[in-house]
Amino acid sequence: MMRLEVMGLQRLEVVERTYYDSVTLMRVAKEIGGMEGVSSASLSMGTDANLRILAAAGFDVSNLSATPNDLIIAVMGEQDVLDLAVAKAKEYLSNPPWRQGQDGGESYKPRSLDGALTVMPEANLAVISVAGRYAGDVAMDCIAKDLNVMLYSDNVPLEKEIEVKRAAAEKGLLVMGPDCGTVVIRGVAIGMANSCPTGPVSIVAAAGTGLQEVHVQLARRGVGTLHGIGTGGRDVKSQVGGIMVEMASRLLLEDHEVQVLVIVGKPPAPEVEERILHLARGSSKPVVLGFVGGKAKGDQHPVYICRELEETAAVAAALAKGEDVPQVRAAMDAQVEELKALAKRIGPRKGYLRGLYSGGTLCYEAQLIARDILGPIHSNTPLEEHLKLEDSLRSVEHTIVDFGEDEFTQGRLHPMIDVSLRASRFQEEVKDPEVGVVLFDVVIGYGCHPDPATGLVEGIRKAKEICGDRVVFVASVCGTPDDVQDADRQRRILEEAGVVVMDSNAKASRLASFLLSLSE
Amino acid sequence: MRILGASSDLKSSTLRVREVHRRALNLEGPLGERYSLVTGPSMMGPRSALVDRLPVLPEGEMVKLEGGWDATYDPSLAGLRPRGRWRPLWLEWLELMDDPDLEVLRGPVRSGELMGLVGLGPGHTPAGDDLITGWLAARWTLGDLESTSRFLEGFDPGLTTWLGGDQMTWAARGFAWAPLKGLLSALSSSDPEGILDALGELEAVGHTSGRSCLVGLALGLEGAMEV
Amino acid sequence: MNQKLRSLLKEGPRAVNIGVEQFAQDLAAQGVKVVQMDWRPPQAGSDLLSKLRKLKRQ
Repeated sequence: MMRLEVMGLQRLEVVERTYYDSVTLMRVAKEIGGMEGVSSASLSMGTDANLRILAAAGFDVSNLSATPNDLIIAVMGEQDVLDLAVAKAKEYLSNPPWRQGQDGGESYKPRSLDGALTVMPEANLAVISVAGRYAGDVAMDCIAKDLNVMLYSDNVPLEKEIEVKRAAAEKGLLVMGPDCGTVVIRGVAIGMANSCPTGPVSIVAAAGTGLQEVHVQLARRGVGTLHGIGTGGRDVKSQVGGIMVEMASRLLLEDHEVQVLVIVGKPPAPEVEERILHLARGSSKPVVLGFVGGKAKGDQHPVYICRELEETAAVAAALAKGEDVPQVRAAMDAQVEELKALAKRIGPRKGYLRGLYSGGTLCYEAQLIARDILGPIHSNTPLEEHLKLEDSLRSVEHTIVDFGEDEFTQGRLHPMIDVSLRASRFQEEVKDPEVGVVLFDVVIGYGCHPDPATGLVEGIRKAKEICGDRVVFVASVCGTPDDVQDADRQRRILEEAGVVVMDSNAKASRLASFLLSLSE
Repeated sequence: MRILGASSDLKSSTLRVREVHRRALNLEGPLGERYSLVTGPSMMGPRSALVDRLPVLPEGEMVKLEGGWDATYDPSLAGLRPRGRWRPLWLEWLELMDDPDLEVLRGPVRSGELMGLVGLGPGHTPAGDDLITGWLAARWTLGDLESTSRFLEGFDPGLTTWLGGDQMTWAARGFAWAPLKGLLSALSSSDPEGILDALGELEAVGHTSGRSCLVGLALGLEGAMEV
Repeated sequence: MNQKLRSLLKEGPRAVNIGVEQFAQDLAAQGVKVVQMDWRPPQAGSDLLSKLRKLKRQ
């Protein structure tokens, strides 16, 4: 059980019925955490998941009465600072210190949609990232005002999603989400997305990091992407019926600027997959389907079927460049053998694989690849229900964890913004003498931490003090040198800490698995 | 001390120092009227001079203000008239009364009687006065001289501070300080460029002043409240 | 095609950002026009204001 040392005394305070977005909460926590005499501070909404995280961090939540609509201010430190810290936290919430200063202050921010539209009547997109329980209604308001919607928020009820998408479809508007963190429009990154050139490919994605990985892998092969339309993962399930995947795909197939269409995500519901296939087969342009972990196979122009993200990008790039697809596929197969050779050179390890992921689709892909080589993989988002971790903070045998899941993100920052949970988890994992390989992703670009590699490496160095050479750390960087974090620099930081960095998530997952499978 | 700019209505005069603040000096003219020396352009109003630094003078000191400055600020609201396209935006300002520190305004606003707000709330210009200022400026730009003259007739300066009374009476006559005038100018144009900045500038004035003024502006533009 | 959808795909995004301010900052950094909203959950108790608003909306 993961437990950080309890340093000093603690104070927990519940502020009832209040609303602050996660970023504000994190920033205030950071300010308080930096106060003299404070050893740790956390501000989060009172969800069950957050209470468990607080408990694991050493806070005594046994007598705490809080609902998800209440704010919990938790501080640990020296006796005489605790009250002050809590008071400061409340003050900072209503009067953020990072906003003070300049004469004249900030620009006014309209409080109503109508007010905002007086200032920008030509607006064509609403980007919504408020709490899920409100986001659906906000989206309906935006659709009523004839705006396309990017719905970054998750935890939007299914019925609401269907209502919103039907209303939008009726008006011919796009709804990208819920739970859509990544959109690219004419090369512009919206939400968490990367800086890549524009070009002949466009992507429809029912998977956030799925879009990012394909986007980046295309760029690495010199191929640009014009649009990357996210639809949210639930779109392709039978209840939603693929409304937006179909709408977006049709749009892009009819668009003269698009030469190759990529549709990527986890396998859709069978009837949705059928409709997509039908649409693709009737297309005059090549369509690359990347249903990660899907069962279908084969290339028959105009439809090319892939089951991994890098593979999808490689095939799409070949089509865009007029290269021979079978040849490109053969080259990729050859790379698998090279990975085995690399694993032998690094030196196989005994024991278990532990994967710590920030990207959901990347985690999913890693599980698929690892399962083929190592057998059953446990997870908080497992491929099979019986492999679900009882406690996501506690790995079992081969385990790959998605830190972007609800239980880690309700009222907290996403792991692509806050690396601390994964950084400390490295040490927990290597304490287990049966762990041989640790695998992880580093996703960069807009919306992400300005330098995730450095924070992760701090955790890795501490871990290596515990395990030495026993554990091999393997990673991939999902990003480009044009991202503000600079993918090349992130890679160097990781390599300097002894991490083996591979060119894609698929390669990293495969290598990590071979390092363990070849040790017999 | 150098005069960097002045309001167009500033005249040479002999003045007595009445209030010393951190960034402004308020002085009294021969007829008891207010003059100000200010250190920031956003503090400019009627009868004001923008200076590089405030002279260090005690209250009661006599000062001669002599001409030779450039007029850089015109406090008059003449020619300004807010356009209907901004209505969804100004309706939002009514919500500012939800802010806990503007609570004092709610009861009197609910009663609909403007005079009940005179002198209400703490500070050198009470929040109630700031609300009335915004209200009067709005009514003036809409041509409602009936309301503004009724205010001037009925206003009792003894009910509030010198500064508060001064600010409101100027507004009733169609003159304002820079942030309010800036916003009214933006509202009188159809160009979205700069309106959020003008709003932000007024909103940021003082602790409650700017927001109270916005509430008054909205109420005035909506024809709510009566003198 | 819906006008706003066409303008989104052909001219690029012109956005209203409702929520996390980082997204508006990132859009502005890419030269995109964006208005940041100060969104708050709908309040149960603002009767004075809705009365006022209803009154004045005639």
